[in-house]
This record gives sequence, structure tokens and C-alpha cells, in this order.
Amino acid sequence: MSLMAEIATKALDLNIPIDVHIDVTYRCNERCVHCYLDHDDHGELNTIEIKDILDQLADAGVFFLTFSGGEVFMRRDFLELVAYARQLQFNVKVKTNAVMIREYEAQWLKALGVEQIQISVYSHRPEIHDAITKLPGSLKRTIKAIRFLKLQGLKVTMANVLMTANMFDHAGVQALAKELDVILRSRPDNYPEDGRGHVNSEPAYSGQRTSPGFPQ
Amino acid sequence: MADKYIARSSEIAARMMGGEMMIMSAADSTFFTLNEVASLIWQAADGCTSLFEIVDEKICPEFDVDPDSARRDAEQFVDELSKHGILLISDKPIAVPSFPTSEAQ
Repeated sequence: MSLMAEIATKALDLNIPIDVHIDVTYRCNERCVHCYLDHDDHGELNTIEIKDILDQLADAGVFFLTFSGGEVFMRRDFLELVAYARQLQFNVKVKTNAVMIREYEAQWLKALGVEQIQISVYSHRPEIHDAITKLPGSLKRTIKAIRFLKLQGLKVTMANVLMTANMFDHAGVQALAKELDVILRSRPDNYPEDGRGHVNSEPAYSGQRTSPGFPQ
Repeated sequence: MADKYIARSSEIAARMMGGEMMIMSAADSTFFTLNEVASLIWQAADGCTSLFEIVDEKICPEFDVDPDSARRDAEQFVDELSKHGILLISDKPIAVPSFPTSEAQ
């Protein structure tokens, strides 16, 4: 049994939630066709409330903490939340579309000791990626952000959700990941049924929610 | 043996679980688990308390160990952790850098 598997087993035995994923906002600057969030204003926890939750998570024994959303950088206090989480000695991962990451943000993510940044990339072709995100220029900005993050020496993972709209682009995304020197994770099965997930699945997937045998 | 000062690096993630300290280096993702004795040393590594003080005041009274032997083991332990950059060692007290905070707020 690997060390990480031992840790997970021990945490389970001790009833410790060792790995937590926290969505800090519903807001997003993209409108991905497959997204399960509706992006309506449901309100969100303020800085103090989230810090209080982080305190509670640390007390509960949480070690791995993933920040996600929505788009985390839509929160003006996001770097403050990361700094607070790192003061509490969490192992921090961030899921983002990276559109709002520039050199400044990349430098802070490095300085704060963030373990890994996971970035959504749907295609190597702007016309496909931007059509999925509904944000013109998003692929260009995301790739620029990845370069900023890599310059800082950060670990970057490219998350590629597979769907009908990008089904012919996997090889191109693999080549892009290689060029950018990032890890590629392709998921044909990551479609939550939450929110509008059941509503928007039809146009995005044309009834093909998974692609058996799709090259990883 | 010469005494030394030790301080925890800020570039790590750490959490106590079931009496053991889990530590992961942000630099290279190296993962460590420390037993009860090592965890005590780790927690006491504040940069201003010397290693021998920690051993003499925290370890020896708590565990039935020979002081010289405990000091040797402790030195070996802190040397190992320092190689991975998760513990800082100096022959003088270490000013622990304050954690960087964002100016973006």
C-alpha cells in the first residue's frame, strides 16, 4: 500500500475529512456550454465567513484543500483566502480558467506555496475553445496565463473535458500540453447533474455523455 | 555535537493526524509522516529554541531516553528534514519570515 493510500485509510478510520473541495463563488467570466452552474447571483460567503470555515476545516484535520468555483479570481479577496489557507498549512490546489491570471497573480500563487493549478482547456483551436466558453479570446488568455505560471515553476494541470463539440481535438490538446510542459487530464465522465447540468447536457453532448475508448 | 537552532519552513503543508504529523513540501511534493517524538521536535522548531533545549525539555521528560542518544537521533532527524528544505537549521537563532500576505485586497 502506498503512503498516500495509508494516509487515506487512516483518515477514514479516524473519521477525518482529509481532502476538501470548496467552491468560493458562483460567479464566472466564462459561460461554458456544459457547465452545471447557472451563474445566477445566489450570494456568497464573505471573506470572514470563509476564513472561519477554513479554521474549522483545519481543526477537523483537513490536509488537502482545493479552491474552485465559479471562477475563483472573480473574488477580489481570492489571494487573501489562499494566503490564509497557507498560514493554516493546508496543501492548496486551485481550479481556474486562468483568464484573469497575469504575472502578478502567478508570482503570488508561487510565493504562497500553492501545490498545483488546474486549468480548463477544451481545445487547442480558439474557435472551438472560445465557442465552448462563450468568451472571445479566452484560449489565448488562458495559454498566456499558463506560461506565466510555468515561468514561476508552478505545477500546472490542464483539464480537458471531452464532449461532442471538441471530440476531434484531443490530439491537438495533447500536443499543446506537451508544448506548455503541463500534465493533461482528460475526463469523459465529469458531468455533475447539479444545477443546470441536466438542462444543458443535450446540446453539449448530443446524447453522447461519454466516449468509450477515447485516448487518454 | 554542537547545538543548533531549527525553524519550520513556510513552504510546506502540515497537519497532525492520529498522533503523527503529516508534512508535504511545496517545492517537490515530498511527503513525510513524523512519529510522536519527531512531531514534538517539529512543533517546537520555532527558530529561537535550540535543538538541545527541545530535546532536554520536551523529549527526555516525556520519553524514557538517554539524553546523549536522544540528541544524536534528533540531530540526524533535523539534518534529514533540512535536506528537503522543510526545516531550516542555523547555529544562531532564526528569524522566522512572516508569511507573505496579498496586497490585492
